[in-house]
Amino acid sequence: MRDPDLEELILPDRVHRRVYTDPHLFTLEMERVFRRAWLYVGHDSQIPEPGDYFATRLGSEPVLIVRQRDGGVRALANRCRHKGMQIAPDGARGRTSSFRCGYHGWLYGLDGALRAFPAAAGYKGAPVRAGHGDFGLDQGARVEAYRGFLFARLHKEGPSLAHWLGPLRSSLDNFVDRAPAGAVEVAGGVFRYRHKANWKFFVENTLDLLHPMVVHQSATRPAAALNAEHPDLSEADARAIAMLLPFEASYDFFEDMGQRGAPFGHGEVGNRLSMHSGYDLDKEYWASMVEAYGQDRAKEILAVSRSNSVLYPSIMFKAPVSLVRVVKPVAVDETVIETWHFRLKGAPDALLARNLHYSTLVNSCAGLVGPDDHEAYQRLQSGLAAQASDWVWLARHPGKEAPDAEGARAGPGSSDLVHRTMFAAWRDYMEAA
Amino acid sequence: MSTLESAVTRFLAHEADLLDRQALEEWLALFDPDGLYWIPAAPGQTDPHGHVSLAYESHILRTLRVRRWRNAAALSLQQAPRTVRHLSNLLITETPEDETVRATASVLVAEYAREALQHYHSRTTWTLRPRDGRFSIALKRVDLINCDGALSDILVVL
Repeated sequence: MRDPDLEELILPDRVHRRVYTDPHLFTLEMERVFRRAWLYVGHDSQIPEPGDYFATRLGSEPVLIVRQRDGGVRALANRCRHKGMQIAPDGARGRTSSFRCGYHGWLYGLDGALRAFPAAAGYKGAPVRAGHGDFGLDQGARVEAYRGFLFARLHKEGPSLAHWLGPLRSSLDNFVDRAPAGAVEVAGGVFRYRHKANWKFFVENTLDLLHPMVVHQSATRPAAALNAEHPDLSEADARAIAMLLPFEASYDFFEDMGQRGAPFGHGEVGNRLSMHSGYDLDKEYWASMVEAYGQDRAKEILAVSRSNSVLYPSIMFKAPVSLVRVVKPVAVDETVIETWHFRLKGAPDALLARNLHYSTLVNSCAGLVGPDDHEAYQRLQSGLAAQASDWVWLARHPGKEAPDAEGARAGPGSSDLVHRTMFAAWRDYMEAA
Repeated sequence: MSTLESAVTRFLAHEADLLDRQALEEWLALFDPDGLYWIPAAPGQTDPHGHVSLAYESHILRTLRVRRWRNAAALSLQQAPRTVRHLSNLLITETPEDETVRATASVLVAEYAREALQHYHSRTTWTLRPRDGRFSIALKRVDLINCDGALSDILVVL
């Protein structure tokens, strides 16, 4: 495949429209960006016991994420080495002692080694061998965990997960530290939302603080009106309105939220101030936090409210409402966004209910927020197919950035710094080996 | 057809007609003040608080949905979707204890939006309260067969 001329696609303050529309570039992204980066695959709590597994994708590659007998986790190729059949369908999960291909019965261990194949005598003189190597499912994909979050990388060489996470380690820490018991677990169901648009629109939009007041005013204006008309709202309704109104905060508010970009394309918006920082604090939850951490530390943990954090390219997570949105690219103009929810261990059920309520309002495909973002992505996809102009601008707030204490670069909330950071990493990943 | 069955049939046809004609303010008035509109996100979901839903809406949130529908700035609604809905296989059970009637139907909502036709298939259950010779809706629960699938937008009221 011909290598793209990256210098013509990615400029310091703009990118060429082809990065969103060219199927050839999408194929290269799957081979390079989504093989070389650590990709979020799930959470320890999904596979607590040896033999627990689930089937997912690393970019376009089907894999089995499997808890080993020694407690480690492997990412096995989910493809029989014989004729190539996918061993488990995407989304399958369960507990097993081995994986058996349903076509000709080839049998693999939890570690991916080929254990047995029927009518073995017929392979006498052929290169087929039991064990690892050419006929095993472990092809060297790396798996590492950080605070219970599991990441995998197809490429054998590269930075450790901790190094790759960089400054955003402290944001994953905050996600988990918000649990009085110091651990989180998957809970509350999953949304799978099919987007008819390139994956990058979603990722970039989550750190775009100039769109909420425009795209979501059809939800926030009626919310504000209902709030004014009904001083006696039920607790649940008042909570729903309070979660919608920040989408139309002032331009100054979003600017003051701040943002930062980090190595490997990561970035986030909000810190002390965010769309979640004004939420009422549940009394029972506060009490459990004080009991677990003491008042000062509890206050410190809850004062951090980073509303959207991106670990490029595969997730956006929201520590203040305990959810992770996972990017599953399907084609250059199709992406499935999964939203996974988490229970903070030791926190009251009311907190989980609030966070799930937020997601139902905002992240559901039938919600009051998500479909308008999706409409924007679809019109970006069709707008950028036009030849009227080649450039998408990332030019806002040039030079307005400064290093922060954790080695990221910080800027005003509405800067394109985070987007410039993403494309710098995209370009590095896309460079030919 | 029993009197109850014909009354429920008439009521559900009326609701379907209001939704297809986008007479959404009139649709709001069909509910009890504490009535709920629920689209579960998992098959057989029993808990609306410990599990996400595709929609779980009180009177205030339904009103918000309808006002958003009327708001010209709603990007995804600018090419106003149109629907025709089909109800069949209606089953009715009376629950004398709480004086409600439970009606369940197979529902197909055909939606035309963004120059494309798509379909939503569900078993939908209405918990109805007889009121002044008619009914009001205590709960409308829409169980989509693909509620846990990779769905695209559901822009309309189902």
